[in-house]
Amino acid sequence: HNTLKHILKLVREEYLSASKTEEGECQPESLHKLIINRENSDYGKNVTDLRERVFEIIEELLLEFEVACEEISKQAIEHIHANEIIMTIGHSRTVEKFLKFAAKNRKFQVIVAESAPSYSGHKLAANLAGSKISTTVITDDAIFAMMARVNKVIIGTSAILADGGLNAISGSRTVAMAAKHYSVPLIVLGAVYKLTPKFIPTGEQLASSQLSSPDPVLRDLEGKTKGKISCVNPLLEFVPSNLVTLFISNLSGYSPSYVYRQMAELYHRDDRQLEDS
Amino acid sequence: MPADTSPLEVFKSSLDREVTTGIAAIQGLMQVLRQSKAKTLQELVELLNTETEKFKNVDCSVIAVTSASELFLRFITLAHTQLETQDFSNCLQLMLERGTNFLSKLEKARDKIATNFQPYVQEGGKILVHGSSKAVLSALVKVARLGREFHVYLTRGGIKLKKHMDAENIACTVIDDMAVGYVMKKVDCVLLGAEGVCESGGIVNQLGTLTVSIVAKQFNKPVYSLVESFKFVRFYPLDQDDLPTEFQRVGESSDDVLCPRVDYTPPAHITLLFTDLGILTPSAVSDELINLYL
Repeated sequence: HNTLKHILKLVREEYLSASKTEEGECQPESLHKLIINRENSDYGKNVTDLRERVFEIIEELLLEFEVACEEISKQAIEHIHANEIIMTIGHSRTVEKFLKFAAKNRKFQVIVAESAPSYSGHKLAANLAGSKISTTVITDDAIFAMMARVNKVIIGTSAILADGGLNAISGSRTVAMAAKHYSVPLIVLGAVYKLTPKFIPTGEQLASSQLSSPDPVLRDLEGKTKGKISCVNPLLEFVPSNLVTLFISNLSGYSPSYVYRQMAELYHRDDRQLEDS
Repeated sequence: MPADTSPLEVFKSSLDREVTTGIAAIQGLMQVLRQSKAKTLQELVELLNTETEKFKNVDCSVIAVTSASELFLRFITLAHTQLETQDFSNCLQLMLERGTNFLSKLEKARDKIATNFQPYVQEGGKILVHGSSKAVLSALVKVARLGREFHVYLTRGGIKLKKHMDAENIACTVIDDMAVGYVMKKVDCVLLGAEGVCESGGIVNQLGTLTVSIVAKQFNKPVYSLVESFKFVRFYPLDQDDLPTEFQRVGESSDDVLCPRVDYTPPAHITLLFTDLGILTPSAVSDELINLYL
C-alpha cells in the first residue's frame, strides 16, 4: 500500500514538472492553497514521454529500496559507542545488519529478548554470535529487570504510523515502557517505505495487530481442556510515539514529532485514504 | 443581503444565526469589500482593520475574529499581487468573486473534519466533551447518523450542546465540571473544539480545557481537538499570562470571582488535531502556518 501511494506521488510530480505549467503545484493542501485559489491540477494535459519517465522513476525507487538496509547500517557508528550494552527484541534484519556493521569498528554487548512464542530472538542471537558479537539471550519477563543496565534499545518495526507511533513486533511496547521508566533511549530503525499515512485509533489496535494461531502458545493445552481456554496471539502491537526517542531511516535520522514532514514528502494528500474512497 | 447593511450588522446577524465566529467575521469583511470605494490597497486594508476592531467589541470569541481577519487580509494582499496589472476597481470585483469561492471552501471545512474523525469513535465508546464547539457537535452527529452507539459525558461548560444531542438521540450525561476527574477513568477519549490554534500547536478554548486535558493525560486518555483551519493564529504563548487581555474579555461578574473566558492548553497535552487539512500532530501546526505566510 505504502509503495503504491509513494509511486502515485512520484507520478504526479513527474507529470507536473513535465507539463511545465502553473497548474496547482504538487503542494499538500494548506491554508496557502485556499487563499491562492488555484484548483488542483486535474492531470488532463497530454504529456508525451510520461510513460518512459515513470518507468525510470520506478527503477530508481527499486534501487533505493534495495540499498535501504545498507544506508541505515552506515549510520550505526554514530549511534553505537564502545562498551555499550544494547537491547533488542525478536529478529529484525535491519537491526542485525546495523549491529554487524557497527561491530566492525566497535566492541559492545547485545542483549536479545527472545520474543515468545515465535522465539525469533534466538535466530538473531545465533547470527550475531556468528559475527563475534558478545550476545545474551533473555526471556521476555527479564526485560524490565535487565533494563537498568542497558545503554540503548534498538528495535526494528513493521510500520511507522502517521503520528510517530509504531506497529512493531509483539513485546515491543513492554521494551519501550521499560526503557521509558529507566530513561534509556529507544531507537527505531525503519526504511522510508515503512512510513504509512495511517493512524490507528485506540479501538482498532487489536485488529491491526494481526492475531495469529494460538497453537504455539497453547500447544497441547487446547486438546486437554477441550476448547475451554481461548488464547490471543498477536504478531504485532502498537507502540505510542511518546515512547520513541529517535527514528533512523535510510535518508536520515529524525524525531517522532517530525514524522508528519516525512509523510508530506512521500505521499500526496489525496492518496492517503485510498481504501476509503 | 442588501448592499447597504453595515458590515457590523452583517457580522452580528450571522452570529445570531449560529454561524461560527470566524466565518461570520469573513462574511462581514466581504460586505466591506462590496461597499468600499477604496482606490488603493492601503485604503482597503485600513478599512478592513477598522471594521475588525468593531467586530472585536461584540461579545464573541475575539481570537476567532483575529485569526479569520488575518487570513482574509492575507487573501486580499495575495490576490492583489497576482492581479497587479489591473486597475483597482477591477481588482476589487475579482477579489469579491474569489472571496465568495474562498468562503464556500471554508464552509465545507466542518464536514471534512467530521469525516476525518469518524473512525475514532468505536461502537460502545464513551467520550468526554468539554466546551460548546459546533465542530464537535457536527462530528458526533455524523457518527450517530451512521448508526454507531456511543455515550457522551458533557461538562457543564458544554451544556449548549445538550439539546442538539438529544435531538439526534445521542446518549448524553451532563456532569459537573469538577466531576471530570471522577469520570475520566471510564472515558475512552476527550473531545474538544478550539476557539483558536496557536503556532505552538496548543489551543485556546473555553475555560476548563486545560484542567480537563491535564486530568486526561494523567489517566493516559487521548485528547482530540476538532478545529477548522481558519482558526490557526500566528501567536506563540508560553503561559496563560501570555494571552492578550482582549481574548479574555473577563465577564462582568457581580462578585470578586476571577472568571476568565478562555485558557491556553499547551501542545504537550493534545494528542491529535483534526482539521480540514487532515489529521495533524501538534508539531505540524507551525509548518502549516509557515506555508501560509511565506
